[in-house]
Amino acid sequence: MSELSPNARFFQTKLAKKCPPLNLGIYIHIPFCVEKCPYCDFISGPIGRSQQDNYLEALRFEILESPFHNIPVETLFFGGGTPSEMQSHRIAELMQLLHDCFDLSQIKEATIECNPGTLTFENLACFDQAGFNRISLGAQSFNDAHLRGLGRIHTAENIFEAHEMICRSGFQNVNLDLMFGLIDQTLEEFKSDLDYSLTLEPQHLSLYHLTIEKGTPYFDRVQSGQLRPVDENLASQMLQHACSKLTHAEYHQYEISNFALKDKQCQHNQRYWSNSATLGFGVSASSYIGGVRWTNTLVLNDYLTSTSSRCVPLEVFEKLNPRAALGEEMMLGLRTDKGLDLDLVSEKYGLDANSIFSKELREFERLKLLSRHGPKIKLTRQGFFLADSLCAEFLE
Amino acid sequence: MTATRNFCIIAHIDHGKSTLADRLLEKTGTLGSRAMRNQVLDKMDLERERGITIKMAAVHLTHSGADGSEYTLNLIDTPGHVDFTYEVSRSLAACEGALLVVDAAQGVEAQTLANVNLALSHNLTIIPVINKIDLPAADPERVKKEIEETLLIDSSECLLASAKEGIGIEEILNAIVERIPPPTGDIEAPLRGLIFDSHFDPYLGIIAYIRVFDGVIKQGMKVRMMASQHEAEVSGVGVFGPGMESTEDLCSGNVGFMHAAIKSIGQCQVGDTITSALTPASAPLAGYRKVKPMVYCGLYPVDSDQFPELREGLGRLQLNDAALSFEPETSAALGFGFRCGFLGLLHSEIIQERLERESGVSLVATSPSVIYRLNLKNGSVQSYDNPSSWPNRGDISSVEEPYVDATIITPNQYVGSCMELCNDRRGTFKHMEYTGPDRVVLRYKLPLAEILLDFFDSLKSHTRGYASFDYDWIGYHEGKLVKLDIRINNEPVDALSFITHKDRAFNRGKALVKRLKGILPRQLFDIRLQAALGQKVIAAEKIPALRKNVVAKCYGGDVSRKRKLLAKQKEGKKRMKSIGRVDIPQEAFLSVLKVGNE
Repeated sequence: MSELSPNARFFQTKLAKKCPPLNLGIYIHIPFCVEKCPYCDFISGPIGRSQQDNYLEALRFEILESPFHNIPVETLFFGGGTPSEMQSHRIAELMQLLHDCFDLSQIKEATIECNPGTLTFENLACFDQAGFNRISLGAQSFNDAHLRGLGRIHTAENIFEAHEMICRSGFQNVNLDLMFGLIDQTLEEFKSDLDYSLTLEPQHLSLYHLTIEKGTPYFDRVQSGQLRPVDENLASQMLQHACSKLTHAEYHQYEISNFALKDKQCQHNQRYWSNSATLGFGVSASSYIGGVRWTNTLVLNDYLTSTSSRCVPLEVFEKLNPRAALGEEMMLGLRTDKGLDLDLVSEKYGLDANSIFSKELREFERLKLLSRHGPKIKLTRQGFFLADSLCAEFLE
Repeated sequence: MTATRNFCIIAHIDHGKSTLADRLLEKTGTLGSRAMRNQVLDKMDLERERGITIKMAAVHLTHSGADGSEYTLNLIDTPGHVDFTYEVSRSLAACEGALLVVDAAQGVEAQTLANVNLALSHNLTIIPVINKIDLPAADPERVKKEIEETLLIDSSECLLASAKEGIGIEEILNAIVERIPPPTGDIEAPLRGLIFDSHFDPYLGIIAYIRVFDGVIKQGMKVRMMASQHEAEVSGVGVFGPGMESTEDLCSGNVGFMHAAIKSIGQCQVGDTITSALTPASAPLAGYRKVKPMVYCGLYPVDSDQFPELREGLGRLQLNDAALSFEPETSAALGFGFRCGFLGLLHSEIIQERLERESGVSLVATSPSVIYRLNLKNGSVQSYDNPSSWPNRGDISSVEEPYVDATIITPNQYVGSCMELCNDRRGTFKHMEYTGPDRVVLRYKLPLAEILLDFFDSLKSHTRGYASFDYDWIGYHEGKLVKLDIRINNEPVDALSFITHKDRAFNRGKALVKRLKGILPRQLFDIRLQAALGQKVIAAEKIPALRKNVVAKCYGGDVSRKRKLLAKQKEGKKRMKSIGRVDIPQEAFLSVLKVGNE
């Protein structure tokens, strides 16, 4: 837990008064899962029924206490964990609460994450009722052996079934999560996964390199030598293949890991990369309003006791100075295909981005990793692959 | 004067010199046991850390002799390490006798020999003390024989002792009184005092440790240092008891200190003679030698903004260390720094450690280099202490490098190993002698450059720690030496240049370039590494450009974490020296050293 832990309500109230956002994106974290996947570093896991009730109670409380009521909400995202594990009536209740507290009348996109192994028609009907218009399906792979290796509770068959259900239930905006660089995965196997994904004709695809995160069982296994981490060259090839295949299939890589058909970008996530106002509720949920970023505690128990203490402990609380914030905005903006407008960003932070970064910009342009058109800059395809290295140079 | 004895303790490292000194202090009541700290004569933490005595100290002891009268015994402690021979010789010059301490188990070692020779050359009376007789492996009889055979000192003269257990101390003190002659000198003659050490006190200035040979020195006197020509008024004199105790004066035959508000060590050098400014002596005491550095390396701050701190730090260290020399230097690769001269590798390591610790400067040290003498085609002879300043190959007619006379003492079974090591280091065999049932003394002529780095460590590991080693500078000899340049993306990095023997150039170049490939982090572009002799490239490697980072998500909760992670990576790079557009970690410069002897 952060040493700061300022009273969550206090500073939020101040923000709400000083710089109330014109619109919001809201994120709700539902940490329930049937089983925890060994590679996952999200805050999630199997949680007993009574804990679930406690959790929802705490969530309810946090939403009610928020000083940002009545602000119009443009996007909504239920993530986790497996939000679809939550009981249907609970989901409906939550949605109702959000409607009561915020202005959801203009909502453009409401997404809920699902696991292909546990999705039912009943779930989907409930989601539809509740107002969700986008489903994110955690497919990860279409190779049963790899799915088992990843500790997923579903099979490839399940993915197809789930997708069928989703379509039948009338949802027309579907995202598929796909991973590459899996342990012992060959290029052919990945190509096949990608092909399968495309047969489902999802509107959106999120592609992630398997990362071995500290604190996960995968990490320990790699440390002990049980698991060999993925070959970098191979992962590179997979990524290259995906990019070209998806481009051919009319998907636009609008962010490093996100591909979408025309107009089917994930609007909620785009708010993160443009530093637009977002509010997060639940354990580990993150918010960004008025230049202040805060993340709720990562410890479930601490979040649960917040109802009684009337204060959600925070893991992160920061308001960056202009230079640092500028660097961060560069980091986020360059992840997207739209890139940034240096003039706008300079104005926003009162700094001259052009001169501060002139050396780096010139160097990256020379190496054909970045392209510039007047004040607008963005990373090239090759630059996208090296985004981390490049963005680091803009940070303080 | 007749009741004074000036003596020092000489020995091989770890044979118990300092412990014995402690015991002498204890026995003579000079320091109450309660106040005793182990190795009390070691003043600096650093020395304690490394278990090495670096700075000397002089202590004034009082002892009641067997005849009942009181004697003043001045004990001068000396550094044992091979790098500090000049200081040792100056402290010997201040004495009339020496306790020679030999480990009862280890016996006579290389430095024992070297120090005895030095002592004899100063006409000191030697009292051999066989120490550590309490150890189970102690074999005093064997060691006595060794002493007789190697050092040509009659074994009947050997005293047996255990400094640790406090055995034989009284006998030693009596022997000092009985066998070491009292000092001679003319108290009426003009003042002549030998400065054999000094340290810098922030309030008093340089405190000079002196042995007065002729005349008297007292407070208020105007004195002159005969070599540096500096004149000053004495603000205080006294003796070390072991703390500084003021006295009215210091007379001929005595050892003590004096201070005269002297600010710079250059004005008060070890080996210099102090005399009266008004009635100076006609000739200085013999043996003064301007301390000459043997080893040079470039020291640069990793962060060029810290250059002032580095300069200040070096200046501060020099106050107490006359042997440290430094001159500003520029490197195209590393920016602004200093070319520093040291007495040896140990000296340079100590200085670097202190700089990093006391001044907080992260350092890049370029490979240590000796001074080469180049005979140029235009007829001139020039000395170079920095490989990167060498002229072009075409202009050089021949190269000379400094050589040393090395003595290695080893048990029989490792003789072959030692000889192999020396041959490997371009050594020339001079002499071999069996001085005991399992003791061989090897003499080799070796280039100084070859023993600079890890000769000592290699020797130890080749002989399982049993061999010992000492060396003496003997002069310059010609060698087929060439300069190897390292180029990164076609740009020579001057700080990575080094001098090597022609026959080794290819192997070293190849090894170094391979090593650098493993050390340099990947960049956004390809990196070409080359080792070159003049224009000719003799080895090359390529470090391919980074193709991609790990593609990972970045949503709300990830932003802060990701930003911090990337910023940290950037920090890491900052600790590397950026040369051209390539980030070079400090390790790369050190790797030049490590690859030196493959």
